Amino acid sequence: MPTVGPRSGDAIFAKVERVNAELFTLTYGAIVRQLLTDLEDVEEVNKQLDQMGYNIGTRLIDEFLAKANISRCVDFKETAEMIAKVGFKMFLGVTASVTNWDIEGTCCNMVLEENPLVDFVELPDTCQGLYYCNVLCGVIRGALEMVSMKTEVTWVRDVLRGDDSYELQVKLLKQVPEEYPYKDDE
Amino acid sequence: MVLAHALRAKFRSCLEHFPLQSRAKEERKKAKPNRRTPSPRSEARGEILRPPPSPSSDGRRVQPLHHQQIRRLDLLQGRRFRCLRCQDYGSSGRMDTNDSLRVASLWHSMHAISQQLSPTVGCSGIELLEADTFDLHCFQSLTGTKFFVVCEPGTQHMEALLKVIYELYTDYVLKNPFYEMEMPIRCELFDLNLSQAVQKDRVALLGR
Repeated sequence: MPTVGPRSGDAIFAKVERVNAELFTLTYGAIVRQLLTDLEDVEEVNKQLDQMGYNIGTRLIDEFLAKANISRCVDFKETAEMIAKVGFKMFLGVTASVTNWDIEGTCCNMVLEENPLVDFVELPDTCQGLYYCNVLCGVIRGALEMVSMKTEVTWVRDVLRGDDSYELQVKLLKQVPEEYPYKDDE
Repeated sequence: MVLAHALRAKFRSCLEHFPLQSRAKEERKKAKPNRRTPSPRSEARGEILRPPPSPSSDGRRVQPLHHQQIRRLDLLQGRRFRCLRCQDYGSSGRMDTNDSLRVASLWHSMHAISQQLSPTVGCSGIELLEADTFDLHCFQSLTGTKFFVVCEPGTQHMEALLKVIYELYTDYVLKNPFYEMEMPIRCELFDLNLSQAVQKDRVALLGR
């Protein structure tokens, strides 16, 4: 088996193909605008963004595991560090920091230094309940579910809603190991 | 070890004696390492295959197949125990779809059993199965998808090939928006790149 250790987020980010950031921001903005036009209800749009993120996350996790060459994380703390340092860097080009661990080590907050999704964006008064970057919550939830962790990811602070930074809360609900369809007779 | 012999025998019997009978479910239940009586399947076909009478005996002699190819097939298995894709590269001993599906589900079960029965803690399942006439290398991603390749005994660099195939999977299959998760893979780009990866490997091997 290969003895190469896990690659750092910077190293992978340097190697993957990149796309124009403005194109990315514009594309995401177009998606959100279209969803608002189609669904008209801000809560529905939040849910849709989360669902879209979930679908992305279930596919993205294999890409992440293949390129980052990491082995199984020992505990949830390591998982959160991986997401913050390697995952965000690899896919969005930004790093996040992990803070606010609870006593059991199942709940933490991730603070994003920058957020390429929201460049040039201001929320109008009609969309005040909208979590513009809710897709990120879905991505993390979907990705972790594919590696047997059921999580709940929500926004704690959102600059577009008036706070001073982007902060996600990632809470591990339970570990679901893979089940096999037969039982031991003995 | 008795377990290794039993698993090897079970798998070899399925892979080398076609057509397989449709008893995958029973095989799963019967695939226990300490079975002393021959399974009904082997008896029915009059095979010379028998479980070893004692732990120290070596073995089993199965007639070798005549295949000269470097590798036979790659199979992917999704989390719901399904074979998503299989490809034969050899010139002889091709399996039809049903046989491949049976072999795939049998392998999945054996992989799972080996994880539970392994004496080492945190075992992630069988990585290499060596038999007289073939080697089987298996790679399992952390998401539970298994990639395995059957090749001639002693073929080198299969682990590297499996990692390459994993990357091809993440690119051409998962990033295809029209591919539904857990369904059989029908992506032309994936097939194309997979053949290229295998051909490249074969050329490298033949050029030794």
